Amino acid sequence: MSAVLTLVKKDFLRVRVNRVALLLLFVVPLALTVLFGQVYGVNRRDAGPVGVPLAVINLSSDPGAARLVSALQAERAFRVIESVATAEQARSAIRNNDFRFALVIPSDLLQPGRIGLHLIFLSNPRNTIETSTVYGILQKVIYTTAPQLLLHAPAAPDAAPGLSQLVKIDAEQVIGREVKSPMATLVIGGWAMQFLLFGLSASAAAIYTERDLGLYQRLLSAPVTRAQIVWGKFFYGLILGIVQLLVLFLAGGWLYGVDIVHHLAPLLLVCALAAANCIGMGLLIAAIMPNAEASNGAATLLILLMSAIGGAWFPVSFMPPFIQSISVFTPVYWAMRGFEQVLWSHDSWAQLLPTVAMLALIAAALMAIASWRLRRSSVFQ
Amino acid sequence: MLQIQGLRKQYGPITAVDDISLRVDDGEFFGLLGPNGAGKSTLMSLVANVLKPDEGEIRIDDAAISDRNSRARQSLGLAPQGIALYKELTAFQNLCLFGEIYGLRGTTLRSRVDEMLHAVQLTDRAHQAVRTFSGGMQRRLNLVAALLHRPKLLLCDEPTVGVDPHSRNAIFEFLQARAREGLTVIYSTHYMEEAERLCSRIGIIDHGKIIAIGTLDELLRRLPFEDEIRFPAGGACDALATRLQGEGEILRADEIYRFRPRAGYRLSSFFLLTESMGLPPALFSSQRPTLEALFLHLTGQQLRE
Repeated sequence: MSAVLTLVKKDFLRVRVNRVALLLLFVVPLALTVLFGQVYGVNRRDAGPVGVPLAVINLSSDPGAARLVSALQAERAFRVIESVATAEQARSAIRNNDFRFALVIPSDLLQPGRIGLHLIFLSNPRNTIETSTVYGILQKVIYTTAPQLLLHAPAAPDAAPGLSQLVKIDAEQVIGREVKSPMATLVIGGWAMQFLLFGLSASAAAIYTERDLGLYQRLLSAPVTRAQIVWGKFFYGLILGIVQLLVLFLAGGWLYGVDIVHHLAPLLLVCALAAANCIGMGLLIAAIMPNAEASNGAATLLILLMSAIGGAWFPVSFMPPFIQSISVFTPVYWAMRGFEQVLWSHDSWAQLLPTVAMLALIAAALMAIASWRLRRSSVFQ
Repeated sequence: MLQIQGLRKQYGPITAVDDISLRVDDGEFFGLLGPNGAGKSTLMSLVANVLKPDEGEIRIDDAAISDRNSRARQSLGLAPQGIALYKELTAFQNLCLFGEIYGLRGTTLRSRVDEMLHAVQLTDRAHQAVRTFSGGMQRRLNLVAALLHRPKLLLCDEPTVGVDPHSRNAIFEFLQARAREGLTVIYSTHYMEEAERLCSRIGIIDHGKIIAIGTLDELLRRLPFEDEIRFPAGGACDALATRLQGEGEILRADEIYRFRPRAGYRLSSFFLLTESMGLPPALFSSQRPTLEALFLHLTGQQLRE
């Protein structure tokens, strides 16, 4: 028994002097708990989405319609856009990803001789949780407002009012109708990004193993420069990342019916840029951290955080506004967007361009800093 | 071959290399001898372009060594102190990889790899992962990986650390054979026996400075005595040691007295004294002084501290 106690004591002594282990054991989980609490608005009294863009096209001259618009404007979950004139314009804007939800109040909202309201809900349900929640809140607002609206409705004495007749919402999916396997198509990008981030961060941390073995001494004494070593790591990660992503997507196609084959070229481009971001992130962490353990710890923290903030687990629109504003600076956000545009919306090259440009920009920034830091760090000494 | 002028490297407040100037000629087997932490590895890393000096210049065949000068770096090979090999890869894969780094391709690369594997008796293990090799085998492979491109200058940073006697001898013989073929070698070690056995010229380094340089004989001539007389401690020998105090340096270690006579002291005086004290000649042995004695004389500390 005393031997066991000594062995237990030994492990506690070892962990006590290992700052990285202590960091990973206590500080990282606490930090993540606080951050995830912020991300998901755990302490907010009014948890739920805030300011989701909702275009409202009011084609009705009935004062009740204006009352409904006012009610929607008062709902904090929505940011009502009234600049869209027609349902067709709304569809087009949804296809352009200007917003994902629109409510059309048709001219026949209330008609003499008919009980109830008639509304049209247009959506791009790229995130099923988000779409269900938005639709639910929309129904709540409509049903709350409906009795007041119906008070103004022309009388229809021969009709017996039923609940289903009171409000009729025609839901129209603008994007993704033809997607064979919507669920798998929508989630596969998030999965892929997380695997990629973990894989490439680990490969970047291998930089320390090579340093500790003296391999950089050998390489740098040869006609090899520090920059070449850094870019060698980058291209290795890039190729590995592309292959890993393609294997994942092909498996998604084979197992779940995600349509890869018809969108291979844009998918390859987004995969390449996503991989460039992940290896850039991994190299940057390796450049900043003093050793492999610290690098792995920081990578775990960052990957979990970026996945959460970037929308890999949970719709970004549900997060507090300041988190949403940070979200757009994460590669996960733009990679997810790119995968969605390619596999879900089937966007054109022109529509894909801003996303691709953002991914390229973030990757270039990450690599520029990582390369600069690594060439001056102690890694190569 | 190698010219170093005013080289200095500082790590914060610690001066690892302190104003070193050095010249190593073609075909020399130059030993860099010093205790751990003396600055040997830093000097090697500076010559190999792994570290940048704070001051000074290094030239190989009149070409300054730098990131931009690949010709100078093509002229040198570095066998680092650690086993700088990819242990999950085979010996053959490792050598091919390092050969390719130096621009070797195709049949030239293949024949050089085969030649090197044969030279260190690893041909039959060529296609096995390096992690399965013994420490000595890994050391030998570590050494030849620096020679694939046939450099003019080989930097060996303590290549026998943790090596068994068989592998150590194999490494010595391999290096001596290469030196006979004209390879210039800079060999850092803290084992004086290695420096004595291998090196045509030795530089003794301590606290980042070269404190003595020359052939073994030249260095030993710097000692104020030519012979060292050893005798056991205890009994009448303690009295002898006391009487020798004024005649030179007398040290006691491991129950052995070491007497290093001052210049001009006649050994006949010593034996007359021992005879008068009734001490038999069999108690005494005379030895040629070693590099360790020189190091002790120069620095006041043991080489292996």
